[in-house]
Amino acid sequence: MSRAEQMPTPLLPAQGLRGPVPWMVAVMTMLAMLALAGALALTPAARSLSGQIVDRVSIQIPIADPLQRRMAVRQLRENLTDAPYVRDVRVLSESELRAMADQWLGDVGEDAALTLPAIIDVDLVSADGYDRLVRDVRQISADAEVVPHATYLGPVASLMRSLGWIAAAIALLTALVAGAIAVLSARSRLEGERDTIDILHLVGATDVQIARMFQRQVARDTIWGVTIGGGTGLLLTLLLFWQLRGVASGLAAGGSAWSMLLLLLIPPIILAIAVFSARRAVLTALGNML
Amino acid sequence: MDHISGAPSPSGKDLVRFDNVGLRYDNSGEVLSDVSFALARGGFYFVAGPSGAGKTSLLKLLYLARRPSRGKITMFDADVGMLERRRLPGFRRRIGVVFQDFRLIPHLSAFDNVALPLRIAGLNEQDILGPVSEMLDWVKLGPRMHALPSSLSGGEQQRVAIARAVIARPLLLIADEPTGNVDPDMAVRLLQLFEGLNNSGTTVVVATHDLHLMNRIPGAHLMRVAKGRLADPTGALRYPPASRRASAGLA
Repeated sequence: MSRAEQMPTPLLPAQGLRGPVPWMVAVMTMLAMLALAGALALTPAARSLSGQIVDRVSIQIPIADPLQRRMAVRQLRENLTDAPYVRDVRVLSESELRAMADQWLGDVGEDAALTLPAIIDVDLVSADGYDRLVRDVRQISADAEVVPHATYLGPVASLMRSLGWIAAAIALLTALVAGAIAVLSARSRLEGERDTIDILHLVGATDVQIARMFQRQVARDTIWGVTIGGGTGLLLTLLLFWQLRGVASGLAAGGSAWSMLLLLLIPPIILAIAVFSARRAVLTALGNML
Repeated sequence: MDHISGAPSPSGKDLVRFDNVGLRYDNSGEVLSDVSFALARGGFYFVAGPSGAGKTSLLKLLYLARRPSRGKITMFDADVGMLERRRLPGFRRRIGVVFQDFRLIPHLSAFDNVALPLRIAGLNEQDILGPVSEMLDWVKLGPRMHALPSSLSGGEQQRVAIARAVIARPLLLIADEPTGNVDPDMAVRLLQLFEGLNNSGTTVVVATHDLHLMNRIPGAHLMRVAKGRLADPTGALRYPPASRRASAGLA
């Protein structure tokens, strides 16, 4: 191979995967992707949960006598089914009630001594129907109690929303930390290559030329990092979304094309932050030299 | 003002002009004081003086590694003390420097070190190959062009440093003890190279202790630095010994 066909040796030697930067960037990229995946999964889940609970109530009928209880349930179902403000009425079966009780009391089986209240789930056409429902229920059964789902699931939805925002903030901060790693690395290399920089200056290199060399070096290291971290993060995220698909109650909303696009934007965003930050840091430092 | 060159005009013909220049590092005292001289275009100058006299500081001002603490330096018709930082590279590209400690980039081959000024100037690889190979052949390093500085002897490193300094045909060549590590034959060859460049218009400034070297360039001028000042304001030592002998002979 002739000399002309050879690529000139880079003026700043690259460390590649032997150096710590690609690995730190890889970890940060992976964490940013996982955090964003969490945010993308939690936000629609919280929205879905809010949508499910805002118009839903449960009517509990705590009547000990089974005959009276069944009668109250039947009357309520018949009346509410035809009510204009009600969209759907569903009476929980005995087995569902016992399954719920099992979770709290252990295996209650067919224990006849244990009296369970009847529960009717009602979906309202809109939240405005709540007052009419309470009034109508009281007329049919004074013992019945109307419990809006929002009273106990609302804080959960709110918590999920908060967690979603926190996860998004963590994703953003992690991306910025990856940029900071690139800046620290560039500054450290700047000190380490001070002699080379002096020579470059003295043979007439401009700050922009030197900064471009550092920029290329940071870009090479960061590309390794975002490729490794991004690949790992993507695999873990796909696994996470796949698992979420199995979650009941329609909470699993992750894995949409939009979510995947946002996730795939993380590596190039980190690369851009790292290269831009390193360039600024190097130019600032070079400005202090003669 | 002490005009070192024979009869320099105040401007136009001067490539470099120092007017009452002082230099201090940080908060220490001045390492150079009240230095005034002019270098004519196409002149050949030797800078001599004992160690610690301020030769290296003077050279640093000449190759724009430092700005003066006071006074005025005019170079290439511009006040370099007031020059904007972004304009410095353009000035430095007209100056070739041979450092006493060579200052080669250790991970670059001899070829890449010599090619550096041309690459910085933006020449493409095809235009670099010929001149750099030719220059390395000239300093007898053609077969070793791919060697790293660490595998070269002191003399070979010095020849690489000289090749790097002259490859871009600078207007001003500054050399700090350029023949300190080479054999006498190579010293003569290098001096011939400097002379050749000088004949083609390059102003050459060589800091050296080597009297023999000074004697080989009869028309050269001597700048003597002592205790941070240009000594010999009377001009008694203005010319190197050979010139003085020649002048005495003529008289």
